[in-house]
Amino acid sequence: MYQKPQQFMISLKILLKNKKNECLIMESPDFASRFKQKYVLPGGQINDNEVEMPFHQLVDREIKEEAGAKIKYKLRQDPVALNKYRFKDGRCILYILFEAKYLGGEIKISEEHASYKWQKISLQNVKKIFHPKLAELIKNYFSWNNL
Amino acid sequence: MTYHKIIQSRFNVSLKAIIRNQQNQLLVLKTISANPRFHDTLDLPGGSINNDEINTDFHKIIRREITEECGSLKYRLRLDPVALSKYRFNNEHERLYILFEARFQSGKIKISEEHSDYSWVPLDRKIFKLNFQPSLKQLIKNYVKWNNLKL
Repeated sequence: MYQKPQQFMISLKILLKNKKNECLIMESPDFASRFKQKYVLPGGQINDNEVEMPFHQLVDREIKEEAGAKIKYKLRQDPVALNKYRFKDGRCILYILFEAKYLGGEIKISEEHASYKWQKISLQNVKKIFHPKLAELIKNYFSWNNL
Repeated sequence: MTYHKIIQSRFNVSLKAIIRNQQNQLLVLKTISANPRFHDTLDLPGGSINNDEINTDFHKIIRREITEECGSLKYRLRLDPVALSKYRFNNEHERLYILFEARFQSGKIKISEEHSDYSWVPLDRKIFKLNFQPSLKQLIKNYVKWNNLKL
């Protein structure tokens, strides 16, 4: 295969942690999915009109849209993990994970998701909770940050 | 209600390394380019993720790029990325840069044909006055800011 740079869609994801070290996970709308792992993290893709926007502003917008406009949080500024994934149709996506401490404010999820919960996440349960591409991202988070 | 079509951008993804020595300097490379805008600008070691590397570990890719562009060095690679930047090239495509940090330990720098020279430059406030490629300047700015470095 001729080698050339791969084109990626880019998705920013946020690991929002409360004081008990639990993470905000949301029920995926994807009920028809063959995957039983139906939880996702807040976040979204970088759209064409957002390329010039700073990363932290994009992260802020995703948190407010998907987890509630009134929530307060402290973002760790540098990204904590990555994962890349090729879909069956050939498209590729790169996930970039940011970590934030939840400081308060009402969690109010958007219509995109059915419910949310705070969940303790570990290497043992990550595969049960998430779709494989997100599970891999969080596994990288654990191993890259010596957790 | 009007619906706007949402188009997800497609990016080329470039992994870059900031290699720091014990004298608080970083390794920069001088670019050879047919484009006068880029010729002689400063570069960091690294390169794009190719279509045959989708299952290759990020660290393996950046290590390979460092070896190709700087020779076989000994260094300690920090596993989590330290900064990002994105850049829209005119009428071309978007590019995302992901920066990894490496602590140089030993080895002789041996550059490739892609670069004409290398040097160790101090990581201080004057760094932003150097002739880096514009997209890399932003990447280094984000690195300093996001990691609370005092310059």
